Formats: sequence, C-alpha cells, structure tokens
Amino acid sequence: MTRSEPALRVRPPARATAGGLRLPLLAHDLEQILPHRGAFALLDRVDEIEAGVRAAGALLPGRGASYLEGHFPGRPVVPGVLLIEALAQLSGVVLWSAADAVTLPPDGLGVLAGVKRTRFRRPVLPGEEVRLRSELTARFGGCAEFTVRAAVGRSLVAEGVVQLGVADAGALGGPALKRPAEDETNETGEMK
Amino acid sequence: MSATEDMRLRAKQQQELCARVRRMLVTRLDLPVDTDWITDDQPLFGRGLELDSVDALEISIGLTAEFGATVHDDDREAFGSVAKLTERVHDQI
Repeated sequence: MTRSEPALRVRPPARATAGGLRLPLLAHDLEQILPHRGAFALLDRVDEIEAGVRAAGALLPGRGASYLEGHFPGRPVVPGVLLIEALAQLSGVVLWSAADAVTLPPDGLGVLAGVKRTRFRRPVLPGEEVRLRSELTARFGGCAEFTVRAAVGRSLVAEGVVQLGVADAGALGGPALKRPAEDETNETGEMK
Repeated sequence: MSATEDMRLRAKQQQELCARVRRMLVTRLDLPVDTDWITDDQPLFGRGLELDSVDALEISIGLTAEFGATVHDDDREAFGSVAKLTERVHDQI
C-alpha cells in the first residue's frame, strides 16, 4: 500500500470533511466495519485514519456504564481490559482500512489474539475522554500486530502491543464479520 | 583453504545459524523447552512444535528484528522446519 492511494471513505452523511476523508467515523459507520455491538461497541468515534497504517479515535466511558457498578463499588474505574479492547477495535479499523485488507473467509471473525508488553499508567475515571491511537507494525497472513496508546489529556494511561487474528466463527456460532461488499461501495470506497 | 576445510567451515556456520534461529524461536515464542530440544527437522506447525498463526506472525517479526530477514506469508515451505527457516535467513544475510 502506498501513501498516494485514495483515502478511506465511508457512507457520506453531511459532516465536516478533512482532506476528503469523511471523518469522524461514528457508531453507525463503525457498525459497517466491526462486528461488536451493544455495550461492547466501545469506540465512540474514529477521528483520523491513515489507511492501513494508523488511526486515532476516542473512548468516552459514560458515568452510567454498567461495568462501573462493580469496578469498583463507590470508586468507579474504567477496567484496563476495556481500554485494551477499545484499542484492539481501533486496530481492527486500521486493518480494515488497508488497501490490501485481509479477506476473511465466510466464517471468519477478526479477534484479539494477543496482548504484549502492556502497561496501565494511571486509572481512567468515568467521564474522562480517552484518546486512542493504534499503529500497524507487522502483518503476516491473517494476523497483525499494533503498537497502541491511550491517553487522557496529556497523560498516558495505557500503552502496549495488541495482536489481531482470525477465528472460525462457524465454530463459535453466530454471524461472521465481513466488510461491505464491493457492490455496496463506489470506486473511492464510499458506501452507495 | 582447502575444499574440505571450506565445506567444514560452511557446515559449522550453518549449524550456528540454525542454533541462533532455534534460540530466537524459544525466546520470542516463550516456549517452555530448551533450545537443544528442538531439532532442525522438527515441523513447526501441526505435530511438532504445534505453533499457530500468531506464532507465525511472531516468527516473522523475530526474523526481521534479529536477522534482518523477511519471509512472505505465502512461503509455506519456509515454516516446514527450523532448517528450512534457516535457509531463508541464510539466503538474506
């Protein structure tokens, strides 16, 4: 993939553009890219994409999120594992945006396959906006590795490496992940 | 250097390179075995070390980081054994 290739485009709502990219990607855009739904659709938006290379977005943990009730009672803290999950989902967007994106088999499901050298630097509190960044560092077959960081303001809250792979959704049950079919997008990748 | 000495030297260098590749596998994949337990002809996937696709990703990263070598993901033969992997490294260094 080269930097001169067309930038990623998604369905064209009437939102501000930046360099031709129809960003930010919001929930209904991300539903076209990722299989996550409900409480586990953690990405609130994706603001920046360099197709197949890196992306940046945000997680906005709401004060009423159900997972905060038990983590911890009276002292809500966003679980570190959910930061990792949000970063993995952002990494999935990076992989999806690549011109040579992995073509999943019919029963294939993109999944988190590994987490390495991950540190949580300080707790994240509900109501704080978490800026997420992911950069692709290696690909091999259907697997990919990303360097990821999460920050609140200027404070780094988490950093590490996540690996994505492909699982057999047929063995797991339920619908498989897929990209929008080619006939659903025009030449520049916009949804028709 | 005679032809015999040259052959011995190259064989020794090949053995040393194989040993380095084995050490890389054990370290990078955090395998719970001694380096010497892995034979040069042992399959890396399936019966053998039973590695998976994420391990293949780690191996590709390790080859680049430690030897400056690359293996393409469609080069299935390279992952047939340590010896075959070493061949790919040898060809690039």
